[in-house]
Amino acid sequence: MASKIFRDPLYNYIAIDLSRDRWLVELLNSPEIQRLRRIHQLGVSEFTYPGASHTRLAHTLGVLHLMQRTHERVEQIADDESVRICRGRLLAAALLHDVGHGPFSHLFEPCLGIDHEEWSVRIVRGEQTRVNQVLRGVDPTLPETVAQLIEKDNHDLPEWQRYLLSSQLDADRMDYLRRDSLFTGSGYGHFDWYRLINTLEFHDAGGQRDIVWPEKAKFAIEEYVFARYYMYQNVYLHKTTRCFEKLVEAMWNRARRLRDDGHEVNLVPAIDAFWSASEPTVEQYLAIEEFTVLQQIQQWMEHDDEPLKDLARRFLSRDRFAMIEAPPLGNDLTDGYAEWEEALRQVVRDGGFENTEAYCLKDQLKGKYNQPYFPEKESDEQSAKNAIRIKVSGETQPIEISQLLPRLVPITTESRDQYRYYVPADIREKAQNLRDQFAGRAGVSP
Amino acid sequence: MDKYRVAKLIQWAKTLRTRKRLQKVVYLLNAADCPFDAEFNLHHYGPYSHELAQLTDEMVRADLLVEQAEPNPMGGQTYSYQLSERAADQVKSVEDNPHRSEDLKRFEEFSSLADRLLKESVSRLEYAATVAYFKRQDRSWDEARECAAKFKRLPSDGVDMRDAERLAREVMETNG
Repeated sequence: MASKIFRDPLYNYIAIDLSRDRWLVELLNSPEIQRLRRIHQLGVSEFTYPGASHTRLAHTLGVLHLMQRTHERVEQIADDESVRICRGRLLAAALLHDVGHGPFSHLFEPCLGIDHEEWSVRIVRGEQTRVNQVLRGVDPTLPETVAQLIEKDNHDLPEWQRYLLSSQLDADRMDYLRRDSLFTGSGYGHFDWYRLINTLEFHDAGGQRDIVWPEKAKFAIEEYVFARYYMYQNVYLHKTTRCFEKLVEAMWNRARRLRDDGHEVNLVPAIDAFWSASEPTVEQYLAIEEFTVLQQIQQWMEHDDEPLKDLARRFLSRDRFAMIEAPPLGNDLTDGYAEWEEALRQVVRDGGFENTEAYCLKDQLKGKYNQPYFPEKESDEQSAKNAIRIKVSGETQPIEISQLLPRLVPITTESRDQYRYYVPADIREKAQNLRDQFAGRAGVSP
Repeated sequence: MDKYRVAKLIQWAKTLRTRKRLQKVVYLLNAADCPFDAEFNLHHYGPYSHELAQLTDEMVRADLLVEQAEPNPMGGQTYSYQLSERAADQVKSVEDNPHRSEDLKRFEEFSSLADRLLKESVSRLEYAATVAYFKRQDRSWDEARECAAKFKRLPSDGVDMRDAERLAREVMETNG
């Protein structure tokens, strides 16, 4: 039996059986998926971790590998028609779930005003794309069922199929945590993925299948929850990485504002076409590559507008801002952040940086990509989407993992919104003093 | 989403029983165009906001809400919430402020709808919120009910779904 083999640092070999799944190789060879070779998996994390230069394509192949193994497990526990029929769409969705990512992954979503999941769905459904043609060649309904699996608010397919790709413990997260750990060199993302996949079970939740684990998987899940926590604390939310993410966002907002006000911002053709279109096409979107945005940023280094020019220079020369943690003001119904933020902006202006949109950057650490595991605690509201649960003998309902292992509680309930601010390093001391004054007023020692 | 609105809803309820009720009532108020500003996704048991769940727990830790857990017959825990004295004082000072935002004044106009929803059974709220969720995806009422029925594995012409559509319609046609 011939297979297409890929060498991979996490799984050693990733194989596609050519007699059964040759179409997956055709899908992989589509220009839309090959474009993922030119997208950094972790955006600008390599500004912090120099080894983190791995790509979305490597991650995509990893998710395919885990989905192959997951489907084999599902066939073991429920070998029925609904399981057999979903194999193709699950493997295709594993390869295509990130196909709509833009330059530097999540980083350019606010800059370009895009959502990668929406573009993934458009690429899959778009009849002109090679991806769509390959899927149609396998089965005319395949583009639609793959899109249904990826699309955020689509519930046309059984939820358990979506959970395998997107839930609290899924093929996507299992690959990225381990891959990002390996390439950053941070060493936090270790857990027994093989056991997690090979012990998952179905649970009947009112006639619908849900995903749970047996008690023997609890320590593998514990490792996974800790891995996820450490990776968020140390890699995904690292202050230097977040600083450059906010800096890029401020730079592009500045360019957008100048352009809206009628100023020439010297856009490169692909970005000009995308911003000028009332409804950009898939082709226009896919034309925006990392080298496109880097060329754009390089051009802005010569721009007349000082903030735009300076932010472009800072990005390309890794000249970072200083991070100031928000003072602890959030214990009342109405918080005092407005007063603190105005005072901080005044410090920035007094320091000679008049444009506070460019030089006083607020980072609110919340949102779907910035969360470690935070489960729903009421059993009536739990599913694989918001809780990882264990089937315990003698209990009718599965139990959420942190209720079974209370030592996980401290890291699964840390949910307070975190605010950080980034200001030019020249005024770090004054900004820090201001922060300490506000902390003192709130009765908390700085 | 802000803490004041969650606090006010819990004050209207006096004791708000179950997190599921909190989720579905906030979703239905949102569907009625009440300025609650929370992002919801459809979960196994209807629309669910991760943000609202987090904010509730944050308010408990900040001593703004008092949480009580009780075992439920299915073997899990059910939670109920009351406003703390500290939070009640702060609600009063927000309301005594003549310069409070128009948005907050508008929010208070939803008290009678909130009061009505808070008295509904949790299952009725869940079904109505699920119908409202599909309706808000630009579907007709019949389509929304059918999608909700398919999602909940219930007959679309059965009593539960017809009743859920009735409540969802009533909510979405109410504006304060």
